[in-house]
Amino acid sequence: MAVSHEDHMQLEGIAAPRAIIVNFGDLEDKKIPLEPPESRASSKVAQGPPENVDSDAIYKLYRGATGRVHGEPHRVWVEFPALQLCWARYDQPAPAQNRVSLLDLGECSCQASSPSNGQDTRAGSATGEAVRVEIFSLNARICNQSDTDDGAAAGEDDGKVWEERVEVAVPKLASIPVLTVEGYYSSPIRDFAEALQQLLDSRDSEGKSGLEFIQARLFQYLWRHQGTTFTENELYQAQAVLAFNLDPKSGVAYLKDKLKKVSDSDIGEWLADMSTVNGGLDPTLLGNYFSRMDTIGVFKAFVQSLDFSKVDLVGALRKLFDTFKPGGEGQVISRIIELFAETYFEQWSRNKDMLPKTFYATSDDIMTTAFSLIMLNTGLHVATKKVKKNASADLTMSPEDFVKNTRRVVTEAAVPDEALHAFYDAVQAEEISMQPMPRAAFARLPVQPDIEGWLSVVQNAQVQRYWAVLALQRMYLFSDKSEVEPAEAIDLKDASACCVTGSAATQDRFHSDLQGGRSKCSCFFLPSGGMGELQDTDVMIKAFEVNRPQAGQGPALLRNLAKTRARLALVAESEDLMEKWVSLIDSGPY
Amino acid sequence: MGVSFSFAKIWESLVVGKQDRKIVMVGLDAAGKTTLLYKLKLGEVVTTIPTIGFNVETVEYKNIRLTVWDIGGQDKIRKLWRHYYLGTHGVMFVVDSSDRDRIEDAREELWKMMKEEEMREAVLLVFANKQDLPNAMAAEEVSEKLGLHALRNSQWRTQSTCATSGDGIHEGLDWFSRALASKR
Repeated sequence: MAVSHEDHMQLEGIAAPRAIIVNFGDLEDKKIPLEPPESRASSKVAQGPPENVDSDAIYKLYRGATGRVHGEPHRVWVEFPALQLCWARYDQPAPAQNRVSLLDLGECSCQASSPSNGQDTRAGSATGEAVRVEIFSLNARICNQSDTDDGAAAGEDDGKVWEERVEVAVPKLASIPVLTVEGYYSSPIRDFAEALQQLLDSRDSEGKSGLEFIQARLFQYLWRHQGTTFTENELYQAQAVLAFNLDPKSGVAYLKDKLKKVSDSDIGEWLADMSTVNGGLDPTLLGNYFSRMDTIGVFKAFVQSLDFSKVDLVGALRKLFDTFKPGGEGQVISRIIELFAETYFEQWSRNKDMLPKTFYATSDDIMTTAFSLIMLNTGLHVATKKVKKNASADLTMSPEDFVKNTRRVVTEAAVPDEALHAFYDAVQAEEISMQPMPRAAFARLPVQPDIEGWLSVVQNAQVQRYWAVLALQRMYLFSDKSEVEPAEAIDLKDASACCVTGSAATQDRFHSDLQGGRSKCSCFFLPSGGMGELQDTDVMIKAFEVNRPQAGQGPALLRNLAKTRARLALVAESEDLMEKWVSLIDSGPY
Repeated sequence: MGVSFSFAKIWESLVVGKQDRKIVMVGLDAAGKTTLLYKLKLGEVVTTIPTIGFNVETVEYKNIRLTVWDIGGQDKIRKLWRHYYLGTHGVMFVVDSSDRDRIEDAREELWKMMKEEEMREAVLLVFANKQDLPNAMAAEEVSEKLGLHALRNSQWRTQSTCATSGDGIHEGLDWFSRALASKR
């Protein structure tokens, strides 16, 4: 794959000129050897997608979950590029000892358990309901404490063996899990465990090529999470998300313009949909957006669209703040909590039997309790990260402090002590925070770009520089990085790409594009001959062609630049980037 | 108290290192609290952990270390702040000096807090912020409109600032740290 390909390049020291040409319509070009045959074979991508893993599971594994490992809060996720299960402390990368290959995992179980931090025997605390996820390795030898298997575990399915691994060791299920994660009712660790088991089952039944397929096509999988086909409307939605994540104001303007979502409630509902079901909105930008005074109406509609019907107050706060990160000003949080409380009160009123038992009389009871919980969260979790050790001894609140302070604003009739204690335990056990996810890369879903960067379009001796985003089988060309509306959207569904240096024909074509039939000077080449040759080559090794199968069929490559174009010459910023563009355009989703 | 007191101070700063002081930061919406709080960090890299909670930061200035809690919000939850008032040494109160319409609200906000038992002796630093805006009230006018002269037990000072540029923040902190150092 890409990696071995690059390695090959470095080892052999092959510089330009070289080319990749893959044309759908042009078999001649397709035959041009891009790399030695053996390297080609090794870079072969798996045959097809594993059938028993849905994209939803991949999404959950990729996004990860939080829980406690050895009593400490950790996040757990699957790093698909490395095909590893990873776990690490909050906000830290996983060290080597916290990584296990998916190929080495045996099975994953998820059981109800009593909370590890003990004493919570208060009956029926829904939030306190704990689960324990145990992940076993296939090979006892990678387990630190080997050879402690008891009969029961050893008796389990020995058939879960890779053909590839047979010679390595006699596989058996280790009785001691490589990883034990403890989580709570309101945390997605259970979903994570189910998804992991699904992946492992698929690996066993369909072979490891399925894993490699996912590895190679991760982003496509993540889009799949949004659904397989994209209608025009969905593309607009994706574009609106992209716009919103560049600048919320332009995103909303785009929504109004293209999707005819004009009223506050339309916008709020759309944002709720995008930040929960569909994913993709940047939580920090969304939080900044909601922190403004003039977005109260939108936020109101947003919060009303969220479903809090089956969760207690702490669970509801977790759900709320999994979608966006509000600013840290007291006034901002108080405004947000006030509107949240109205919605939660309404939904709670329809299901008052929820545990722990509460008797909210008005939404104010919820608002004040919720606010007190945010203070608790700040003291227990936020301040301890932000404030240097020993700075102030009294950062945190004891359960007694919490109850005492909350009692200043909420009566025992509305929220009994038992409920406050249950809430306290839940917040203490797990911080109210967004579920961690690789934000930078993920921020733009559903239009997770395959690649983005500066590209120059070369034609008729003219060079036009664009900020190009490759996503959803389309290449969007923006006249500037901050631009929201693309100048061009190129449909790449059946298109192919190739390096210009690959053949004399492409080189000739590139030359004529550069010179436009006339001898003209542009910013990055000199007239041919002498130094000019060298310069030309420099440009050429960064240049690639995009082709549509047959000219005249289907939409032209460029709407505005040239009406009937079936071929387009582009120059990337470096040779490496050019190769990425080419391979990404060529691979397409599936 | 003179000699032995200052000796104790020197001893403390030598042995104990930095003195810790707990500060609450208050002000109306959009007065510039958040901008100011992060300017106070004076070029330090602020870690942006995506946390859910109130702004809280440690600010080190000379030999003093301030833990600043940014608090505020509507009346219904005001009583909850008492938890933070306990053991508070000082208050930073941020005012939008250009907002003449809401200076009365600011006054109310400030007095509600300063009347609390725990806050009686807290050192008060008022940042008369947004001095760069046209028609901004000068520090003296802000002091007067807030009725600071009627504060009996507190040391106070009004410092004109522009949080976006950072002007005036140093002077304010200089005074604040001196006033706080003399408190126990």
